[in-house]
Amino acid sequence: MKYKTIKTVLAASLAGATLLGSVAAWSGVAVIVHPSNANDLSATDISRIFLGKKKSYPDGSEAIPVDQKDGAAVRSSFVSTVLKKNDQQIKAYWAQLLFTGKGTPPKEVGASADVRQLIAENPALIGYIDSADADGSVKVVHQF
Amino acid sequence: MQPKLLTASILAAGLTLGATAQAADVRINGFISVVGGTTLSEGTLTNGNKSTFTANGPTNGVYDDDISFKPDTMFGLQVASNLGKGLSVTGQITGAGGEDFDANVAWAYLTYEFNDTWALMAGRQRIPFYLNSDYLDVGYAYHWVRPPTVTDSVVDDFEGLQFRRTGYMGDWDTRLQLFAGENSATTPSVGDLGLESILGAAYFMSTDQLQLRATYLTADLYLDNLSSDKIPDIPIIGPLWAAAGISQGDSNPIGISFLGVAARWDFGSSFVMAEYVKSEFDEGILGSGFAGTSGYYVSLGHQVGLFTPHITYSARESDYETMINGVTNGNFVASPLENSSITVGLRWDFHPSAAFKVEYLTRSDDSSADRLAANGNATEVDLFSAGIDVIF
Repeated sequence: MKYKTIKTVLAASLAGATLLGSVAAWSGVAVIVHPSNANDLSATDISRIFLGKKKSYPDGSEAIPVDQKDGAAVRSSFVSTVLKKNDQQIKAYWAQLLFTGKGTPPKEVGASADVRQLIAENPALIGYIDSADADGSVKVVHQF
Repeated sequence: MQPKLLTASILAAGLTLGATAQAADVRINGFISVVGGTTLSEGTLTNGNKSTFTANGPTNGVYDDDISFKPDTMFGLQVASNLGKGLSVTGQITGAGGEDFDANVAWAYLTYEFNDTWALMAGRQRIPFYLNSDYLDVGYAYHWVRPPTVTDSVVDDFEGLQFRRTGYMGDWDTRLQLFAGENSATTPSVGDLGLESILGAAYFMSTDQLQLRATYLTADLYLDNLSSDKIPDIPIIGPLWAAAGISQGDSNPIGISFLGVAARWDFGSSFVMAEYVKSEFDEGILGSGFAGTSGYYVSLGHQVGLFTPHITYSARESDYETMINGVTNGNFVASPLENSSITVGLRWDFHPSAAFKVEYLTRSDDSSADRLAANGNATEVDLFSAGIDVIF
């Protein structure tokens, strides 16, 4: 499992490197919410929200997950670690839900900086970014 | 719960919650499977014809020994709109090669979510017979070119109501579906038939690695093309049935029941899935005597990078009745039709939204000697097929 994760991350990093022109040196992944969001979120809660199984936070308020762009290294790492699926599995998963009217995948909003900016402005959102990009405008609820 | 349509507009505009969205966001998605195939080895029917392979029962997708791109080729367009406050609508138009791509409203239903737990779906929707029922037409969603034919019904959809309850039990996500409705369809294999008083339940539970499912339903099946006024026209035995007052039209339907259980386990890059199904008819269908079927499959796959080689074993038994209400039926052999098949295949995810698949299936007719004598080895066939599944 660990080996697979490393492999996925490596593959994703290489893909990222091609895009960015340099090997992305990111330290880890942080799951972030709006600073006013006081919910205590477990990895299972986060997974359920991102898989469309749960549409609200434990306090009952609406939860809206946002994804990074397809192919982003942080995204592959998040999907394999928190959602416990690889890139193909997550695509097949959403294909199954999408075409049965049971759910739609989270919106893609760009890279870590875009996700952070959106989340800083909207208490309903939850996303994940490169740990190095986390700052006081958002609250980190989970890190790996 | 806040309307989800806000989400889309907020994200699109990159603004804050101040925005008010009145227009619903409409989502259009689609899928296409383009598949070609041919039988490579065939059994022989008693009339001398070669056996064929029915890839898609509801749409008459049948392969023979000429290469054909029709039986498994399929497109679908889905339009879904979230109207907010828990209300959404879903419509799906599909076209299948077996029906010359005539566009067909597969689904048209509205969903109302009472809360995070309960939802009601009303309209034309999929009957949850099988583990793969919900996305049977979306080739991209599974590893085969087509799911094992043991999970292929002559009727896929129904018009009615479905209550869905989703919840959690520890690490398990749970889903209960309760449904009721009816359907009528013209099927090439059975003729015009209808299902009335469909009443059923399905329960599904899953973790990251494990999926378990059970379903049970009952319904009344009637044959439109064999309604009492047409029976006497059937050669030889038609008059016998007419004289005995036998009808299986909608005034005298056949009670049927269906049971299915399934499991899937994903471990690392591998998976194993299995499903068992059994349908029982209170009496045999006029003409063929078909009185139910049971079968199962076990499938194993392993993902290596973008490639998923897989292997599936499946077996099926169909039962027949020679007498209906004391009158002889068209099918004079009581012993069941039995067959088993092995499928080996490869899925290649060559593109983020598309997969290439190639598959070889070999099926043997395992029926007893009297049935083989009556029908020939009618279900013996080898099939090669390859295709591309795309979602957009």
